[in-house]
Amino acid sequence: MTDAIIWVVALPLAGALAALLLPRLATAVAVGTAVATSVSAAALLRGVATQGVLHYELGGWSAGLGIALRADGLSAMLLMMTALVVLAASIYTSAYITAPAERARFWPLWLLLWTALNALLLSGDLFNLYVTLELLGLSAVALAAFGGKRAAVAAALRYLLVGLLGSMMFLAGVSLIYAGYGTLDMAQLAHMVTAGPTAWTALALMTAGLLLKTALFPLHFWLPPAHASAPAPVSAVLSALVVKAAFYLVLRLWLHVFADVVTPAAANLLGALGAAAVLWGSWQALQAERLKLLAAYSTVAQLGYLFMFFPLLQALPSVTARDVAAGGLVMLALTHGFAKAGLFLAIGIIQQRSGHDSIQQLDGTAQRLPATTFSIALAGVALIGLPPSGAFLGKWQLLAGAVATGQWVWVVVTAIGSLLAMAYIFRVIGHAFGHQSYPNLPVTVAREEWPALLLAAVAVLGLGLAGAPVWQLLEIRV
Amino acid sequence: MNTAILVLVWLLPLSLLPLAGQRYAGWSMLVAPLPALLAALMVPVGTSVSLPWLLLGAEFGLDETGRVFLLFSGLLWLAAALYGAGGWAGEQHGTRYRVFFLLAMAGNLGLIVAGDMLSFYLGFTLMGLAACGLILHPATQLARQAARRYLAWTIAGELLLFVAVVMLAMQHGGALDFAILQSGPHTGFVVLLLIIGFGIKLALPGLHLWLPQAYAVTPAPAVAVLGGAMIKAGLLGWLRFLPPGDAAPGGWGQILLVVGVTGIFFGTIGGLLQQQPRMLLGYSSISKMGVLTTGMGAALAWPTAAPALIGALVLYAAHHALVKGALFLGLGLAERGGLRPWLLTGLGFLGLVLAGAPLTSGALAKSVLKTSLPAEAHVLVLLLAVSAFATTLLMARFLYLVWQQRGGSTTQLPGEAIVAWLAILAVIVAFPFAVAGSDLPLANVAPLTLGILLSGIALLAASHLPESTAIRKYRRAVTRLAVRTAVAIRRTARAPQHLFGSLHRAWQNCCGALPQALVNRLAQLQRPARSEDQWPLTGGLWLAIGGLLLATFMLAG
Amino acid sequence: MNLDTWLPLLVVASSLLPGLIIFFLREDSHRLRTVLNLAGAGLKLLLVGIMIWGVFHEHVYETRWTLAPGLDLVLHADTLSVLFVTLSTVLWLVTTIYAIGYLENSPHRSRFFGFFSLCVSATVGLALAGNMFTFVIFYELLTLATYPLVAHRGTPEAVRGARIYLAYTLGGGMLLLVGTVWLHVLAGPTAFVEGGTLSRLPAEYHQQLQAIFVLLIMGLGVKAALVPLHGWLPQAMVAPAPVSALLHAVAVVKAGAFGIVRVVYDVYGVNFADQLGLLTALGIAAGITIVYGSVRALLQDNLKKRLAWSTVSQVSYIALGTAILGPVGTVGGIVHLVHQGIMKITLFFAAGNYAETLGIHSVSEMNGVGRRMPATTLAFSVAALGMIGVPPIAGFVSKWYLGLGALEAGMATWVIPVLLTSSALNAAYFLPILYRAWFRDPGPAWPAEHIPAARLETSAALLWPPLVTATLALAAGLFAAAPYSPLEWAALIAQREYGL
Repeated sequence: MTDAIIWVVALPLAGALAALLLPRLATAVAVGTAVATSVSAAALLRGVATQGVLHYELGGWSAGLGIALRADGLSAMLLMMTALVVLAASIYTSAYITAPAERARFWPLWLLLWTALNALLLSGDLFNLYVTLELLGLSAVALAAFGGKRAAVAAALRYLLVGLLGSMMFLAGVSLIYAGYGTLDMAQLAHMVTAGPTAWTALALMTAGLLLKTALFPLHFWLPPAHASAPAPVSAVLSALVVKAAFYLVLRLWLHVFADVVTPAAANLLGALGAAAVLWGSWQALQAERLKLLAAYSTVAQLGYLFMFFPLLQALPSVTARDVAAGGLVMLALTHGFAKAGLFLAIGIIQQRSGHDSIQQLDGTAQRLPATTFSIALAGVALIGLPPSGAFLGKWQLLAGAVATGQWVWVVVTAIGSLLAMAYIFRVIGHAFGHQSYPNLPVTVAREEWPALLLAAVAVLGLGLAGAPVWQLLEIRV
Repeated sequence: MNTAILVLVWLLPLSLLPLAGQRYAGWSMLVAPLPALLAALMVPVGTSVSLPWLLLGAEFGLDETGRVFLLFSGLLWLAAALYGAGGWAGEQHGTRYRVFFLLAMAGNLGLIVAGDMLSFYLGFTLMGLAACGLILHPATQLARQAARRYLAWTIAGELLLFVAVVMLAMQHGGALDFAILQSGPHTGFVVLLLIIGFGIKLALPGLHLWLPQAYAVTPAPAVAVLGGAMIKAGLLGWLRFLPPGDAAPGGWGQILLVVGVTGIFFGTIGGLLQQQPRMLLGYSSISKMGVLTTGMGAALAWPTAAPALIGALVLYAAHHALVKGALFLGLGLAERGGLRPWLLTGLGFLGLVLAGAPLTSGALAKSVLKTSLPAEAHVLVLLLAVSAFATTLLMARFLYLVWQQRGGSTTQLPGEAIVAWLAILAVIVAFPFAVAGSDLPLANVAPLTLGILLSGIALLAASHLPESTAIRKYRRAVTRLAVRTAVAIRRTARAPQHLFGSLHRAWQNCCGALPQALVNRLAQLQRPARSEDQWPLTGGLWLAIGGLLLATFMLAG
Repeated sequence: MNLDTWLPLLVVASSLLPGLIIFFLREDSHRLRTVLNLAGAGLKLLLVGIMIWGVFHEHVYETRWTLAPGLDLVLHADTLSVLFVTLSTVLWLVTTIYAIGYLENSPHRSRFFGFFSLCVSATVGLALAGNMFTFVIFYELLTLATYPLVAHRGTPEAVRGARIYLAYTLGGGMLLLVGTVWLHVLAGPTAFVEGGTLSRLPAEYHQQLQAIFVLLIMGLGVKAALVPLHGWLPQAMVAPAPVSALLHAVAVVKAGAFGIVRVVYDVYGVNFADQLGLLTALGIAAGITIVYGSVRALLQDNLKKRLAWSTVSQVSYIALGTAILGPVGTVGGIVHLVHQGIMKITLFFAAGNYAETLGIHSVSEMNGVGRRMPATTLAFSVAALGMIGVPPIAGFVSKWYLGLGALEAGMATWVIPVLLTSSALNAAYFLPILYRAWFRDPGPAWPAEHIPAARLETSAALLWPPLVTATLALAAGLFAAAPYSPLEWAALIAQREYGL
C-alpha cells in the first residue's frame, strides 16, 4: 500500500486547510482527520512489515532531483506513535479547548504541525528534512504561544530564536554536503560519505543545530519555560514528538548516513552530555514546584538516556548486539513518547480543575480525580523504567550494552537517574493518598481522562508486553 | 486396647482442656490421670505403639521404669486433682489454673511413656512451661519473681537439651528412638549438656536457684505435683538418655557422685537455715535429689551394678514423690485451716517416713539403695547414713516451723482436700508392705534416734539466724547487671543514629552551605528571568560543543 | 487450550482480573467486591490444587512469552514455586476475609482491594517465575502494588512510611536489576534449573560471579530485611493490619527470602555457591540479622513494631537454612518459609484484632486482654510459642532441621548458638506479652473499645482468620511427618535440588 505513505502527509495538510476554511466545523474536521490519518499510519506500518521499505516519488521525479518519501521500520514505528499520540491529544483537546475562536485558531496549526512531523519522518533527502524541520519549528512555536499570555509569548520567542539558530546550522551543514558530494539523497549519501573535512564539518554543524532543537543538556534551557506556559496538548506534543523528531534526525545521521564518519570519541561526547542531562534533568525535576516543570525536566532527562546509547552502539562488537541495543533505544523513545504525552494530558486535567499545577497543593485535586492520578502513576512508572513498561526493556538493553562493553559509568548514571526519577514521581503520587472521599465513579470527564489513561497504558502495558515486534521492524531499513 | 491406653495417658488430659471453663470442671479433671494408673496396673510391660505421622515420628511404650513412674505420678496427680477439685486455687482464675494443670499433667505423663527422644522432649517442655503458669497463678509480686526465675532456668535447660537431642540425632543418622541410644557412647559434650539440662530440673546445687522461691508461692496442689512428680522427670531423663554402661564413660559417674553428695549436704544445710516451711521442704527436695544423683553417678561409674541401682533409684523416687507430695498437701491444709492436731500428727508421721523410720517406705527405699550399691562404694553407704541423720534434723526443724507459724484460723477445710490427703497417707503407709511384703528391714534406727535427740537440743537452743544478706546482695547485683545491659543495648542501637546525626551536623557546619550555593548558582542559569545573563553562557556552551564535536571527528578519524 | 501452557498464567490471572475489575467498581458496591475477591481466591485455590498434583507427578507447566530478543517472560511451575504459590493462595484467602472485616466502614475500599489483588498476583507471578528476568519484573511489580496499600490510610505518617518503604525497595530493585543484567551478559538467559547453571562457566568469571551474587543478595536482602537493609520494615507498620499481615507473612518479605533461595539453589547451585565462598557470607549476614532483630524487638513497646522486628529476625532463618550446605539444612530453611508465614500472620491478625476491637497498640496496654478476648489471645499464644520454638508447634520443626543440618554440615559452632540466642530472646520478648495477657488484671477501661463484647469477642470476620492460621501452625508441627505436610513437600524440594 504505497499510497498510505502519501496519505499520512496529505491528509493532515488537507485537514489543516479545511479547518482554516471551515472554522465552525474545525473540531469535527480535525478529529476526523486524526482518525483517518491514524488509519493510514496503521496501514503504512502494516505495509512496511509485510513488504519492507516503501518508496514514493512525488511527481514522478527520481531520487537526486525530486522529493522522495521513504518509509522503513524505524520511521513507520515513529509515525504510528505520532499518529496515536496526536489522535489521543486531539480527542482530549476537543473537550479541553472550548472557546470557538480559540478552536478556529488551534486546529489548523495543530494539523500543520502533524503534517510537518509526518513529512519529516518520511523524508528521504536532506533538504526535504530541512524544510520539514523548519515547518515543524514554526508551528510548534505558534502553538507554544497559544493563549497569548506574556510568559507564553516570551517562552515561544525564545524557542523561535533557538529553533532558527538550529535550523540555520542544519542548513549550513546540508549545503556543505551538497557542495562536497553533489547529492542530498540519504540513501546515496550513505554509500558515498567518507571521513574527511567536509563530512566532519557538515556533521558537526548539523548535529550542533539538532542538539539545540532536541534540548540536550546544556542546550535545554528553552524547554521548561515553553512547557510551563503552553496548553496541555501542546506540551504533550512538544515533549513527546517534536523534540523526538530532532533526535530521530540525529539518529539517522549518525547511524545511517554518516556511519563511517562517527568516532568513538564523538559518541562518548554525546553520551557524556546525555549522562549530564539525565542527572541534571532528574535533579531539577525533583526540585520542581510545578507539575509541568517537573514533566519538562523529566523530558530533558529521558532524552539523556537516549543519547547514552550512542557510545554503546559504537563499542558493541557484533552487529546483532548493536541491533538489539538499537531496538532498546527505539523502545525507550516510543515509551517515552506515549508516557510523556499521557502525563501532560493528565496534568492538564488537574490544572483545569484546580486552576494551578502546584505540587504542594495537589492533595485535594489528586484525590478527587482517581483516573487521572492513576494515569500519572502509570506514566510515572514508564518514565522511571519499571516493569512492565517498554522503558524497562529499553533500560535493560542500555544496561546490558554498558556491561557488555565494560563502560560501567553508564550503568552508574542510569541507576542514579532511575532512583532520582523514582523520587520525583513518587513525590507526586504521594499526594494521591489523603482524606478526601473517593468519588463514586473513577472517571469524571471521559473525553479528557480516557485518552490520558490509554496513552499511559500503552506505554506501560502495550509496549511492555507486546513489544517484541519493535526489534523485528527495526531490521527493515534502507 | 493396650496401645489405646498408652496414648490416652497423655491424650485424655489434653482433650479435657476445652472443658476447663465449665462448671464442675474441677471434678471432671479427676478422670484425667486414670489412664496412667490403668496403664501402670494393667498394660503389660513391653507394649509399644508407633505413630509415624505425629511430630517427626513418635513412639510410645511401657517398660518397668515407666510403670513405676506412671504409678506414683498418676497417684499424685489424682490426689492433687481431687485436692483442688472444689476450687482450692480460687474461683477467680479457676479456668486458667485448670488449663495449666491439665497441660502440665499431659506433659508429665506423656514423657513417661515416650519412646523416642522428641516425644520425651515435647512432654518435658510442655510440662516445664505449663508449670510456670501454675507458679504464676497467685499473681502476686513474689509469684512473678519466682516465675521469672523459674522460667529463665527452665528455658535455659530446655535449650541445652535441644542441642543435646539434635546432636544425638545427628550421631545416629537422624533416628530418634531410645533404643538406638544403646549403641555407642555419647560425646562428652552431649553428656555434659544432658547432665546440666536435666540437672536444672533436678535442682542440682548451683542449678537450684529457681526452686525455693517457686515452691514458696505455688498453690498447694500444684506444688505437690511440682515437687513430687515433675521434678522426677529429670531423673527419668537421665535414665532414658544415659543408659549406663553404654552411653557415658565412667568418669562422668564420678562427677555425678561428687555433685550428688554436694547436693545432699547443701540441701540439708540450706534447709536448716530456712525460716519458712515451704522453702525448707524445697531444700529438702534438693537434698533428696542429691541422693538420686549419687545413685545415678554410682550406676554410671559401676555399670555392672547398674540394673539393681536403677531399680533402687526408681523405688526411692517413688517413695520421695509420694511423701513430698503428701507433705506439701498437708502443709497446704495447715496454711489454710490452721494446725489441727490430726494434721500435725500426719505431718510428723510423714517426717518420720522421710527420715527413714522403721517399717516405712523411707527405710525400705534406703535399704534397697544401700544393698544395690557395689562393694567399692562403702563411702557412699556411710554418706547415706549421715543423710538419714540430717534428714531427721531437717524434718524436726520443719515441724518446729510449722508449729511456730500456725495461724489461729479455723477456716472450714474442703472435704475433698482432706480425703485426698488421707488417701495419699494411706498409700504411703501401705507402700512398703505392698512392695516388700513382710520382709521389711529394721535398720536405720541409730541415725534416727540420734537425729531426734539432736533436734531436741537444737530446738531448745534455737536462735534466729538472720536471713542471709549475701543472697540479697547477690540478687541486687544481678538486677543491676541486667538493667545496665538493657541500657547498653539501647544505647548501641541508637549509636549509629547518633553518629550519623553528629556527622550530619558537622557537615552542615563546615560545608553545608556549599552544595546549596552550588545548586543555587546552577539553578540561576535556568531561570528565564534574567535572560540577558543566560544567552552568553549558553551560546558559549553551544559553540564549545560544536567545536568539540568537530574535534572528536578529526582527531580520532 | 493446552493446560500445560496456560495453567501458570491462569493462576496469576485469577487474582489479576478481579483486581482490575474492582478498580472500576463504585465505592458502595460491597457485595460485588466481596464476591469477586472470594471467587478469585477460590478459583486460584482450585488451580493451585491442580498444579500441586501435576508437579508432584513431574508434569511440566510452563507459559513463555517473548518480550525482546533474548528476554523471555517465563512462568514455570516446579516444586519450590508450588510451595510458595500454595502458601500465598491460602493466606490470601484468609487475609481477604480478615480485610473485609477490618476495613468495614472505611474509605477507599475499591482502591484497597484492587491493589490487594494486584499484590497477590505479583507474588504468585514471582513464585512462578522461571528465570531471573521474569523474577525481576514481578519483584518490581510487587513493590508498585504494595505501595498504595502501605500509604492507604493517607495520614502524614502513612505517606512518610510508604515513602521510606519505596526508597528502600526501589533501591534494592535497582541493585537486583543491575546484577541480573550483568548475569545475563555473562551467562545468557538464566533459567531456574534445580542444581543451578552457573557452574559450567569458566574460572575467570568467578570473581564477577561473586560480585554479581553480592549485588543480587543486596537487592533481595532489602525485601528480606537483612541487616542493614531492613530499615523500611518497622516504618511500614503504619499500614492497616491486613496489609502488615500480608507484607510480613506472605508477600514482600517472603518474596525476598524466596529470591535468595532461588538464586542460591536454582541459579548458582548450592555446591557451586559453597565453592565460591558465598554461603558463608550469606550465613553470617543471616546470623547477624537473626540476633540483631531479636535484640531490637526486646526494646519495643508498640506491639506491631515488636512483631516487625521479630519478622526481621525470623525471615533470616530462611537465609540461614539456605547457607547451610546439605539437604537437611535446606529442608529447614524452606519449610520455615511456610511455618514462619503461618505463625507471623496469626500474630499480626491478633494484633490487628486488639487494635480494632479495644484500641490496643502497645504491649503495656495488654493487661488482662486474655479474659476479654480469649480466642484471639489463644491464637496469639500458640503462634508466639511457635516462634520461640516450643514443640509441637511448627517453629520447632524448622529449628530442629536447621540445627541438625548445621551439625551435619559442620557449621554448628556458630549456628547453634545463634539459634539458641534467638530462641532465648524470642522467649524474652514474647513471654512477657503472654504473661500480661493471661495473668494481669485489666485496667479500668480499654483505650478505645470500638467493638463491644457480644456473643463473639469481636466481629466474625476478624475472629476466624487467626484461629484458622493458629490451627494450621499447630497442625503443621504436630503432623509434620504426615503426608502432604509442608515438611514433606520441603523434603521433596531438597530431594530434587540435590538430585537424590
